[in-house]
Amino acid sequence: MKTVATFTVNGLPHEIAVEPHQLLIEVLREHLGLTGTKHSCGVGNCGACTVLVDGTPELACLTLAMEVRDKSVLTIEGLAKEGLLHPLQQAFVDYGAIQCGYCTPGMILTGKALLDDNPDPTEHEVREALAGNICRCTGYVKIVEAVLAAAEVMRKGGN
Amino acid sequence: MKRGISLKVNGLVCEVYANPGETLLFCLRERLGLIGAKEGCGDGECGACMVLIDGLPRNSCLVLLGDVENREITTVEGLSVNGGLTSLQEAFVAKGAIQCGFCTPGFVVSATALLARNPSPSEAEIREAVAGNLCRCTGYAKIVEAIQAAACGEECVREDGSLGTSVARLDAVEKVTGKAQFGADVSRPGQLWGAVVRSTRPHARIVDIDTAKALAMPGVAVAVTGAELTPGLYYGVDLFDQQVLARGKVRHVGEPVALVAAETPELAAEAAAAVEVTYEDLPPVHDIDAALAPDASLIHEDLMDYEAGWDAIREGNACSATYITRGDTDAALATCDRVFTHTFETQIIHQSYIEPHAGLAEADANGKVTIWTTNQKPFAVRRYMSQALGWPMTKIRVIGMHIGGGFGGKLEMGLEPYAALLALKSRRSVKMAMSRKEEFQAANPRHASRITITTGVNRDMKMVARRAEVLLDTGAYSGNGPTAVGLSMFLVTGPYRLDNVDLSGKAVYTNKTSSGSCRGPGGPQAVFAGESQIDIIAREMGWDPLAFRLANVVEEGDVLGAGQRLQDVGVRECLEQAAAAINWGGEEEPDEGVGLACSWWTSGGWATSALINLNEDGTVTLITGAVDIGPGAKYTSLPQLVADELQLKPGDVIVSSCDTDTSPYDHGDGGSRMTYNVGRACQMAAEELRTVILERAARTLGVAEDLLELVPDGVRLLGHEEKALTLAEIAERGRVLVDGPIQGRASFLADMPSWDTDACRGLTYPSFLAPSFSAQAVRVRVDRQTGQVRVLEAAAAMDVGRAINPMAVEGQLEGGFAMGMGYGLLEEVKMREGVVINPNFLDYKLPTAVDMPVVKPIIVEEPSITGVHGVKGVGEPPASLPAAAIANAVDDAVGARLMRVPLTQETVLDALDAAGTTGS
Repeated sequence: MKTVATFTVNGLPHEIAVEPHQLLIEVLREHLGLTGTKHSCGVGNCGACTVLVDGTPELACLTLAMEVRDKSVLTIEGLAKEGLLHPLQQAFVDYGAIQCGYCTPGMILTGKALLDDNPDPTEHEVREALAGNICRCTGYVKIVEAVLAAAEVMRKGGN
Repeated sequence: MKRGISLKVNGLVCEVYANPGETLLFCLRERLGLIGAKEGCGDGECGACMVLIDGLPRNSCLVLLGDVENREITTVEGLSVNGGLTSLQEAFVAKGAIQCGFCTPGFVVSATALLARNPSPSEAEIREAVAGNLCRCTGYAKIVEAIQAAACGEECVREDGSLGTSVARLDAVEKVTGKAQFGADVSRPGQLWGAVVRSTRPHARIVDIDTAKALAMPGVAVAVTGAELTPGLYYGVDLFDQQVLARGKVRHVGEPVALVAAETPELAAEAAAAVEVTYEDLPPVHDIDAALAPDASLIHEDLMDYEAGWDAIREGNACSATYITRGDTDAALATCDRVFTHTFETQIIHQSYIEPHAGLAEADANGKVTIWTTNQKPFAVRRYMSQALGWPMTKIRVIGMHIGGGFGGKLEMGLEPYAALLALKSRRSVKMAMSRKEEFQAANPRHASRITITTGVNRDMKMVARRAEVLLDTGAYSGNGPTAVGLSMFLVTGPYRLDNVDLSGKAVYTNKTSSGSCRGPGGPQAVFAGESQIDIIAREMGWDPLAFRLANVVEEGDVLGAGQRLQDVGVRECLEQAAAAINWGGEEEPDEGVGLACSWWTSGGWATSALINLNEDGTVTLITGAVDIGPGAKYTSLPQLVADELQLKPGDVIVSSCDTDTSPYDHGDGGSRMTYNVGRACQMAAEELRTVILERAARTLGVAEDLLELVPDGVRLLGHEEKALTLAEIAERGRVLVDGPIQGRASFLADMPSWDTDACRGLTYPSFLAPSFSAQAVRVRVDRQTGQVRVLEAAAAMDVGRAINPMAVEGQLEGGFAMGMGYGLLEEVKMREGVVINPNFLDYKLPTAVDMPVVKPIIVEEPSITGVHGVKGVGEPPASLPAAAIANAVDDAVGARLMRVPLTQETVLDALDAAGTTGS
C-alpha cells in the first residue's frame, strides 16, 4: 500500500507515493532521475550512495524513503549552483581525484559533511571521515589532497 | 487533488498516484511508459492516441483517469503476445502500410476492434472503421489493403530480396508495435516541461516583458527572454533574418517572445500565460498587395543588411526577387495566333504531419546540451543553433528520433533552441511539444501564391512563349521563400518545350505566420496555375488536353528551367499511361469529367557521407547521419543498395540512428534527395568495403584479387563452388590477427547540371539534378446541388528513373496524391488579422480513408544517367499535381473553371452560378 511522502531534495519540494519498503536510493534514481547517487554494494559497505539528510551523511541504500519524510536531502546534483562547481567538486577536478568517477559523488558529499562540521581538518581527519567510502582507482592520495585544498578555498570564503 | 488510482492496462493491474482529471493518454505515456499511444492533436480528431477501453476504440486524449478506474484498457503494446505480431500487424508490415509510423498504433488498435466485431468487413466498412484515424503519409491505400489481407487470413510474407523488390521496411516492426521512439517519446524522471510565450500581435514593438508573476508560481522553474541572448545573431535557410526569440519587435502572431519551464505541462502553459508582454502596435501588412504597396510599412527595416547565402535581389518587403529569361518573349508573343493571360491564386496549407514538433533537451555539467528531436535536418539544427545562439558546436549535440511525418515542415528549427535554453538555465531535462494549435499558428506552412501567366500558341498546337509572374507570400520571415519562388518559376513553364520564357518571382514578407518548405515547395502553386491554363487554352482552341500536352512536352536534349539541357526524359510515357489508366477519351457519365496534369522536379542535391563497418559475424553496420521522415529510404533503399553491393540481404544491414556527435554528416531528409544522394554515398562506401574485403581475402589466401569473387556471405575462387572464406572469417582475421577492423567510407556531393548563367538572376537553386517527370489523371463527379467534388478514380504516374523498392515508391505516389487532393479540395489555413481561425483538425479537414479514391500508382523507369542504379528523387512531386488535375476535371465535368484552390463546395457552387449551370 503506497503512502504519500513529502520531502525536499536539493531545495525543491517533492510529493511522491511510495511503498513502505521502498529505499531512498530507488526514489532518487528512478522517480526523480537523480542518477548521481550510485548503487554499488547495497549493504552500506562502500559509500557510493552517500547523500546528506539534513546535513548528515546517510547511505541511501540503507535508508527507507519514508525515513526522510519532511526532511531535506542533498544529492551530488544539488551542489553546483547555476553551473558553477562547489569548491570540493572543483578541487576534485583540479587535483585529478577522479578516475572512473563512480565513487566520486559519495566521496564529495562525505567530504562536504566533514568540512561543514570541521573547516580545517588534518589529513588524518580527512582519511578518517572518508573511511566509509571505498575507491578502487586512485589509492585515495589525490582525493585527500583535493579535500584539503577545498578546505582551504572554503576557509578563504570560496562559495 | 492527486490520489491513488487503480488501472488495468494490458492485463496488468497498476496503481498510479495522480489527479483523476488527468488524461489517460498522459498517464499511459508519462507514468506507465506506454509510448505506443501518440498525441497528434489533443482534440480527439486524429486517432493517434487510440486505445481499447473494454474492447471499444477510444481516443485516450479525451478520456480522464477517474473514468477508467478498474476498466480494461488495451494499448498497442498489449495486442501482441510473447514478442510476436498479430496477423493484422504482420499485414501492416508486409503490405507497406507503414511510412512514418506515427499514426500506425492508432490504426492497428482501430482495426483490431473492427475485426473483433466484424471478422469479414467490406472495403467500405474498413474505410468507415478507420475514418477517425488520420494518416498523412500513405493515402490509406496500403492500410486498407493490409486490413483486408488480415481479415481474409491471407498469409503475409515479408520480402527480403534484392534491388527492385518490395522489401519490408527495417523499422516496420518497431513502428507497428508502438515501440518506435518519436520526438515526444524520450522522457527523463524529474523532467520539466517547457512552453513558449508567443506574440499575440501581428506587428508590434515590444515595450516590456515581465516574467515575475510567472516565476512566482509554485512549480515554475525558470523563464528566458530574448534580452538574455547574445544580441545581433541571426539565422535562416537562405537569408539570415530570424532570431531565436523576438527582440525589439514581433512580426507575426505566434512568434516566440519568451520561454518558461515548470513541473507539469499544464503549469508550464499557465506560466506562459502569466508572462506579461507590453506591446506598441505597428501597422500590420496582411497580404501581398499591401506588402508591395509603395507606402507599405516595412516588416524588416534591416533587410538589406541581412547576410544572404546567395546573390540576393531584395527591396521593400520583397526578401527575394528572381528572374529567368530565355529567347525574346515580347517578339514571340507578337507573332502568336492566340495569346492567353490568366491569374491564379492558392492558399496556405499546413503540412499536417500527425506528430507535432517535440523533443527533450538536457545539459551536462560542462554546459553541453543534448537534444532528442524530431527534425528533418539534425546537422542543420546544430548549425542554426550555433549561428543563432553563438554557441560552439562542441556544446550542441542533436539526436534524430523517428519523425512522425515532416513534409518539409520540420526542416527548419522547431523547439530545439527553446528546450536547450531552458535545460541550460534550469540544469534539468526539459521536454517540449507543440500543441496542434501552435502547429497551425507558428510552424512553417506552405506559401500562399498569386501567379499570372501569359501564354502564346499557334494553331498548329505549338506553345511559343510563356511569361509568368509568381508572387509567394512568405510571411514574417523568409524561411525557404527565396528557394520556393525559384522552384515555382521552374515549374510554371511545365515540362514543355518553350524557346521564349520570361519569368519573374518575388517572395514577399507579410505579418503572417512564416511559411517554409512543404512537399515540393512552390510546386503545387505553379502546377495548379500552369496546368490549369493549359486546359483553358485547349478548351478555347478546341484541342484535346492530352494531345495539346503531348504536342509540346520536352524530349531528350531539350532545354528547360534556367537553360539546362535535359537527359532521360520520361514525361510522354507518364502522360500516356496516366491517361490510359482512367480511360481518357472514353464515355463519361453526366456531371463526370476527367483532368490531367504533368510536371517535373529535381532530385535534391546537398552533401552527405556514409560509413560501413563489417561486423564480426559477417553482417554490416551502416552509419549515416540521415534521418527518415516517413518515405522510408533509410530503412528500404539504403540498406538495399548496401546489401546489393555486398551480396547480403537488407536484413543483414544494421542502420544507425543520427547523432551529430557520432554520425557522418548528412544534409537532411528533404527535397526528394535521399536515395539519389545518401544512396549514392552508401553504395560508394559499400563498394570500398567490398574492395577491402577482396584485398584482405586475397592476401589471406595468397592469390591475386582478380581470381576472387564476392558471393553471399563470403568470398570464393573463380570457378569454384565452395566459399574460400566467409565474411565472418575475414572480419575476425582483421579484428584479432592482422590489419585491424574493416570499414568502407564515402563522401558525396552531386554535381549540379550546368545552366545558362546569363538567363537568370537571383536564383538560389539554378538547375534540377536528375529531373523526374510526373503525370496524373483523375475522374471526378460534381454534385451540382452541393458543389461537392468527388474524385472517383485517379492515376499517378512518375518517371522515377529506377524503383529500388517499388512498394515504397507506390507509397509516395498514393500518399502524395492524397496530400495534393487535400490541397485541391479541402485544406486552407484561414487567418484573420494574422490569427489562424481554424487551428485544429475539426475545422481544418484532411482527407480521411473514406474520402480517398483508389489511386493507381504507375511507375515509369527512364533511368537517370547520374543516379545510383538510375534513380531519381520521388518523394515530393506526387503532391504537386492533383489540384490541377482535379480543377481541370471539374471544368470538364460541369464547365466551371476555378481559378483558386481549394475547390471547396462553396467556391464550386459560386463557379456553377457564374456559369449558369447550378442544379437548383
